Amino acid sequence: MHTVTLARLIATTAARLAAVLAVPLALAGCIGGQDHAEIRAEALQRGGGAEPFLVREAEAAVAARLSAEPGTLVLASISIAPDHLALVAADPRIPGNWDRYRYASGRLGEPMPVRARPGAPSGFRLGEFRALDRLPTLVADARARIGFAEGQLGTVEIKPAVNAKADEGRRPGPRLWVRITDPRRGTAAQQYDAEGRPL
Amino acid sequence: MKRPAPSDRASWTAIAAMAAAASMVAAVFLVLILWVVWPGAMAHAAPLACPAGFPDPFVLEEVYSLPGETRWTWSLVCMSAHGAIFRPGSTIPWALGVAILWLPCMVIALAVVHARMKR
Repeated sequence: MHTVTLARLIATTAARLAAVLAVPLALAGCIGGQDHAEIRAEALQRGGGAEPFLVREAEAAVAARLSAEPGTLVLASISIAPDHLALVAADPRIPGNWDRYRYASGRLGEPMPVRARPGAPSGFRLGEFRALDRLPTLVADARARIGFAEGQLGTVEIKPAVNAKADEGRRPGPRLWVRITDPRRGTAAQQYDAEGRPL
Repeated sequence: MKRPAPSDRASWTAIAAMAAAASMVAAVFLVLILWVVWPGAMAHAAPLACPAGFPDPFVLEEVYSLPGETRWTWSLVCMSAHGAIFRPGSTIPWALGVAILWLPCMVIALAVVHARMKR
């Protein structure tokens, strides 16, 4: 059989096969895709990405970038969103230098310099936030305590107490902030101490 | 047992190579059709594409509108139990789709060629 004829035959067969298989697929309808807003709403409903393992993973990735041991980094804040984590960490090689890192889908972004404000609270180490393993429970608890009927999870952040003076005498260590936004009532925040006790 | 003549072997190698190439093209087109008609099929690649801790697959549909052009893209999104999102990209779902459809396409193409040659 001539090679060109064979090639034509195989191409025709492949085209027919594709056409035949396309019919049941077309009958199945255009299904399965969701837009960004729907997926984000689902993620916020589930807890906004507050996964302890992910926080540890992000801290370890930043530590590896800075040639430091995981758990030894001094952090100014950890912001948690469904699709990424943002960490502000001190550079152990250059005292006083803080950088913001974005960790998303297992990849660590390039550092962005952060201007240190005078009088800003000192940083914390991840291990000081001892309630890390209870993070999802605390986010759910904050939602229940705030009690907005149409509330949507806003920011979830671990950072030192904003006003150290006002916090004097209260429990030391980093805080967890959970903000819930309601289209009718605005934004409310619930704070937890390093042990996961509500403040 | 009679060994096939060199010319027969050469032609069968050529047939197999062409069937492989044509069925690969068919598989790529089928995956394209599949994604346009049923983007949710991409979620079946989740066991391979989603890392541990992100078990729930979603297919993100994005529409970009530019003057004179509208573009749709679909990508796999993996979600954890507490709403963390991991975007593994499209390479693994693509490769998996083509790999799954390539073999049946090739078998059918070769069977048809074989049947025609017997006539």
